[in-house]
Amino acid sequence: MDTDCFIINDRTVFREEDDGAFLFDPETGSLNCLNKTGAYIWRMCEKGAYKKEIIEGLQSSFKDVPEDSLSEDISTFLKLMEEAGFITKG
Amino acid sequence: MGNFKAYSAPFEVFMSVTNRCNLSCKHCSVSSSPSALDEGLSVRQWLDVIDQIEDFKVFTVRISGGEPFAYPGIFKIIDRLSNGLLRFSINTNAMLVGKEEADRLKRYRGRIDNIMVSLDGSRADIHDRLRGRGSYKAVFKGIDALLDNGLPVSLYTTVVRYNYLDIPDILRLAKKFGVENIKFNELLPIGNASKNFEKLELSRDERILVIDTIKDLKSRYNGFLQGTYCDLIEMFSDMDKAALTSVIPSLNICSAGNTQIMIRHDGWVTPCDRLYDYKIENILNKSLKEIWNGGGKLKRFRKRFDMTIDDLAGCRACVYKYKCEGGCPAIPFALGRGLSSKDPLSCYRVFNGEEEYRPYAEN
Ligand code: SF4
Repeated sequence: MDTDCFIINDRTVFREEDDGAFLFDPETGSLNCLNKTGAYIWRMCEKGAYKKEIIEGLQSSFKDVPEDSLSEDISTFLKLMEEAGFITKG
Repeated sequence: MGNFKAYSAPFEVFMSVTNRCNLSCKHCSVSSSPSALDEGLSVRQWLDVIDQIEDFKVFTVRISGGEPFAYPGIFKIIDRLSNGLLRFSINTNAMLVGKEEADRLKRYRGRIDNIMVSLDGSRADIHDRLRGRGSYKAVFKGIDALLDNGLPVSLYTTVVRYNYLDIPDILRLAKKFGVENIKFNELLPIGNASKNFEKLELSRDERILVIDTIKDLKSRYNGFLQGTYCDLIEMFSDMDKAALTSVIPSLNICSAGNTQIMIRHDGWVTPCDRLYDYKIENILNKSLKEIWNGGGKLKRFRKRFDMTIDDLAGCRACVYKYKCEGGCPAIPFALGRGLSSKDPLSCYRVFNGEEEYRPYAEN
């Protein structure tokens, strides 16, 4: 749902690099590499943004991508993050 | 301007908590012994360093020495690591690990990636010849205690003249133990080993035999058998195709000062554990972040990552250069040849007998 918001797991280490970011979970040792878009979504989650706000924020960068497709991509990303234990639905 | 861009922080920090050890092995790559003067960091100082490592968003720490369990405050350090945002590994000879220590380590199991134990022979006479009488028996007690507590143990063997024929038996023993893997690594001319190199280094024929043995065993123990000999096999496998290309390769971008950094017992920061004497800055004078992002010696070291094989002394005219990445900078550095020389341990010309095998003789 567009009004979903996410709580980040406070044991997660989010480390920004020039071309994206790393997400590291010291409990499991899981290390994930995020591109710039993934890093942006993570920062929005940190701010407690709703999914709708994340979509709006990204639309300005991906003007030619239809909203539906963007929404789907963001949902997939958030689902993966949730499954990996980095975030939970708020 | 070079293209190499360092990460915002290392992935792993080596913490050599002490240079003291209960042993003084002939092949040790640190100058460790029971009498080594340990004017190193206090526990309080190490805890401050760990705060810095964590704030810098490093992911893992490898605790090494000397022998980490010879450091009186080791469990305070492990406690701190386990309660923060880091994972960690330990390099040990396991001789000071009894039931009590293993039981304590068990509490941190969820944060431990690996406990790497040195084993240099499948029999007491071989292992003890390098490590001292009684050490074989003691290491087995330690390994048993660790494994009984469900801890992730791997083994590490330095291949020298005393044990190169024992590789298949060491491997069988490792398998029987049920450890995660075993590494067979080359002897490095660093630390105690630099003083005993002539005695311990393999001849060219012995080295070829080791490579053939490991090549053969690798197919049966794939993944379980690891280490620098496996890397060498990989590196040398394509050399006959060197003439089929004309692209000059860049030098190997290794982990030193790139994904890894080391803090010595005395606070000196070096690019990696092999470059033990390439002292960049002392952690007591500057923060880890300042050292990582600063100029000076680390910047100079990283210049190597923008070099090609043609920039190494002695490589420009080599027919194998198109398939060669120049090896490890720590070896020419340890031999007093600087960072821009080839690594004789990874040089195919040396391996192939086209160049003098004993490159250490003049040092
Ligand atoms: S001389 Fe040795 S290190 Fe240099 S390019 Fe040839 S094989 Fe590689």
